[in-house]
Amino acid sequence: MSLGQVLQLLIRDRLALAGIIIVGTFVLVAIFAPWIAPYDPDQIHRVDGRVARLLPPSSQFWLGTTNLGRDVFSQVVMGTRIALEVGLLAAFMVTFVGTNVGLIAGYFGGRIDAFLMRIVDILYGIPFTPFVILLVSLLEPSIWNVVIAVSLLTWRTVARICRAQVLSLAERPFVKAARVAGASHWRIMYRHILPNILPLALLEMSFVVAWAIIAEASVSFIGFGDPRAISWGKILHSAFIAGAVRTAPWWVAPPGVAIVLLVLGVHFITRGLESIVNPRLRGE
Amino acid sequence: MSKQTPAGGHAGPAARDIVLEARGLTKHFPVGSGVFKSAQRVVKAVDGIDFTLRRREILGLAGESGSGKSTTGEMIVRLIEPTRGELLLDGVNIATLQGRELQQFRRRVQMIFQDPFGTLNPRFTVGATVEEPLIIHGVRDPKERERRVHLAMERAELRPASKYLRRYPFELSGGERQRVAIARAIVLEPQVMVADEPVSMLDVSIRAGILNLLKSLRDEMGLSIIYISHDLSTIRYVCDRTAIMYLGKLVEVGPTEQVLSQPQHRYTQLLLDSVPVPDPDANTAPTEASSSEVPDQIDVPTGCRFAPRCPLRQPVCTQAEPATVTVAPGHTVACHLVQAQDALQEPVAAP
Amino acid sequence: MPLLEVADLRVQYQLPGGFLRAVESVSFALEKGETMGIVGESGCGKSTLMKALLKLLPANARVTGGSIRYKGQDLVPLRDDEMRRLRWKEIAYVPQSALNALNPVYRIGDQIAEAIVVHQGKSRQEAWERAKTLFQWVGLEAKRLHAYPHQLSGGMRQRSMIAMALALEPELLVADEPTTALDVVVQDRILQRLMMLQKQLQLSLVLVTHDISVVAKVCDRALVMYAGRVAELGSTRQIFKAPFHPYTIGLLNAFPNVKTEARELISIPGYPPDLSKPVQACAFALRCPFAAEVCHQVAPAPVEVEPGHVAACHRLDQAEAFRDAGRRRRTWEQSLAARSLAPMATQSAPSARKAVGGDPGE
Repeated sequence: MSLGQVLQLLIRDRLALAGIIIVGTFVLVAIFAPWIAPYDPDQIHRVDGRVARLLPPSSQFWLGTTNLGRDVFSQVVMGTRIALEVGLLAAFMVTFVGTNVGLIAGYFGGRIDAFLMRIVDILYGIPFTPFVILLVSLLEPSIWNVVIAVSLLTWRTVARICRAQVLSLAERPFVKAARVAGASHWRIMYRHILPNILPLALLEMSFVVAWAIIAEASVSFIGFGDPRAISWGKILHSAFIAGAVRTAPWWVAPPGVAIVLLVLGVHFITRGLESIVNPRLRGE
Repeated sequence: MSKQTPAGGHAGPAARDIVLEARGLTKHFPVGSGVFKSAQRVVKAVDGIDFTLRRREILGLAGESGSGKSTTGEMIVRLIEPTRGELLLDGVNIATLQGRELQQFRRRVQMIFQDPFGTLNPRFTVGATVEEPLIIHGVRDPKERERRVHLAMERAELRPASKYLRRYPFELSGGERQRVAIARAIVLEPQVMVADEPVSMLDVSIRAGILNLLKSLRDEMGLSIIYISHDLSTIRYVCDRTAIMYLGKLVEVGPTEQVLSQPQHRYTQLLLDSVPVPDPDANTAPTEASSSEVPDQIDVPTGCRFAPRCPLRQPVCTQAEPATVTVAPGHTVACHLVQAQDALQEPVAAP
Repeated sequence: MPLLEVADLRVQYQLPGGFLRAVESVSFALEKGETMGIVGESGCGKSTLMKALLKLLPANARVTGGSIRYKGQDLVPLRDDEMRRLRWKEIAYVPQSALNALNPVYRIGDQIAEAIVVHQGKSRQEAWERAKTLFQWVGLEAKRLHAYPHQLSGGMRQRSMIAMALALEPELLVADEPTTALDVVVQDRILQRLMMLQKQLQLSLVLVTHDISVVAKVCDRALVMYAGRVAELGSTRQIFKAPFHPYTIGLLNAFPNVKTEARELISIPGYPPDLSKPVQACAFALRCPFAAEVCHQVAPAPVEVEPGHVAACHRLDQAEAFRDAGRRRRTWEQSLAARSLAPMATQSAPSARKAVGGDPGE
């Protein structure tokens, strides 16, 4: 199935279409963020000589200001970049590692499979947030480390799912035929089996995007995020420690709404993809 | 002086006529995990069989499930390794080949499978599928590959080749897919092809096309084919010689016409009587045998394997495995109750 | 009155793109105690027809015309609960794969007994006794009643399916490819057993299969279907000895016979038509080597060629010549489908190839 066909099918699904529009909008905002944001997000503004603390939304500051006089709107806009970077980066890493592990474990079986799956089992036992906190406190708090932390723990699901698919594919006659023709193990794994598990892997990847965005927001919210980066979680964190949660809804709501909207959009697309991928998989 | 080999072939000048020979070919699969090696139970899927395959010949390997015929086929193409025994391809034992020699061997022996819907990678175009063996075996020149792919498609009667090359399997019918599989198998111009139930999942009205194709490949490419099937009707149509397998052993081998019109082994007779015939007048007398189920491959009975189901069994049948005797030129049977036509008889093999 | 009478039945599937006419104007009758084989290849509509008989059609299928009269009563308008009263008690079903039909977590004996208890209100003990009798009928030892489905071999499972189907003493048994997945000796045994039971219990049997040899062995009458329509209908003797429809002729010549010396087997080039795009012509015209102008314009209606024997073809008068020509492989290469390059590859005569530059083989 070509990309074009997939897109066509997705567009027919109303929710998936909504998802595409939502995510598309966020992507555009992220790309053009510096031009869309009216101010530098770190800039402390002064109005009438005084710091523009906690000003409600106005024509000058569309979403009001923080307790330090910074423009909330600009912050939220710039925060889009972090959200998408983390989401996509983590998703790629997770898919890459998970797919390869699943492929190798499922194809070779035996001890290699047992070993790799043992690792996966152990990883399943590790609780997410404490682990991220631990990792971030041991290393420096940066966006990359958050991405790594998220990736390290989420590839396990992708690996399990890919492995299951590989196990069933490896029994198919076309794999036997490739062996009879003299194909090496690597050729069979990467030229024959991988293209057939890719749809599934990509589906898992879209799940991970949503998960990673939330993970980063959560980590930043509790204060373990990158102090130099502006992420939505960080905005919420600042609002929280400033005690402005009740008093400045314009500061708290936008990043929260942004997170929910983006994740929702991704979910809608994922849902659409799933109904495309699964019947095909069952049919093959 | 021509000496008769166990499988009814002949050594001597006619030996260069033989392209593949199996001697004592055996495959045992371990069952479960034996803590003590001695207590390890095995499935004796194939238990010491001998046969020969000549050039330009289609040899049928017939049997029901559990007979070991598919396992034999997989050993011949080295998808699995024999536990014991020899497989001589042009005199060279391929049963134990490894590495580069194994890779070289693969050019000469190929296989087609039963399921036309699983036999092609759904993500490969027809062209890519047929071309791949050439790439694997180092045919570097793209023009050469193209030429050979076209030739293989032509031979598989996929015309015009150019129309099929860019298609994907889901666009093809079952028969066409099987032809693509055949093209893939012959693109390296092998000497031997193993066909494992190639038509049983195809509609009847198109089976003949594939069967006739196999026959023409034999005639025109000089291909030797081992045709594995449980369907004696198609075996009769397509095979020059036939070997009947039961529970890992060969019970009867010979020219197809002879084996199927004058069967010597009771099991062959049972198979023949059981095959439904497209003729309402054909006699369908109920067949006698104490049970219709093929027994377990793990607890194989001592003596003749077919004895528990054989209406003619004698005490000797459960005591010793029958030797293979020759009843006519090229026609051998493994049964205690069958007399050899000439004095030549193999000594009774120890169980 | 015939036990089962199907008149002008039409069944359609609703697809995203449109309608698929799976069964089109099918009519046949089955007398009490008769066996009828419905034979055809994949996509011919025999499975749909069978499901329509049992009212087991999937949600997107509908009977759009005709009637199915069982003992005079039309089944088509019946509601689910009304049909449930008939199913099993009057009309029983033996599916293709027992694994799909049997509940894997219950013993076979329990499943049979339960059906009897629920439908006939007998006590569990009586039901179990009956189950033993049923197993005897199908040639299984009573001890197998205590087994789980996965513990039995394919043949045993199929026998237990037959036992279950007979549990409530139905009058009509509908079997869907009951022996296709089984080894040939097992298949023979089960078919023999089925024939014996059929005579003993005065059962009427509808056997759906792609294998005409099974029909020849087991059935009194045969219905040959093609592209959802009746191609030919008659007694098995009539159909096998004097087929009138070219598709039947082709089918008979495509089946190898193990008891006779290998004659030339033919294959019918081309594919069955797309049932979502109905045409006015005979459905088989493109693949038919004997098609005339009229065949491409008008769909033939079934015509009686001799008592009890109908065929749907415009050129019935030529049947004898067609039977003769149909035995040769070359004949089948004359159809439009065979000659056009689009469908399946055609066969070229080996002699032609040999004539070109000697023997190309090794």
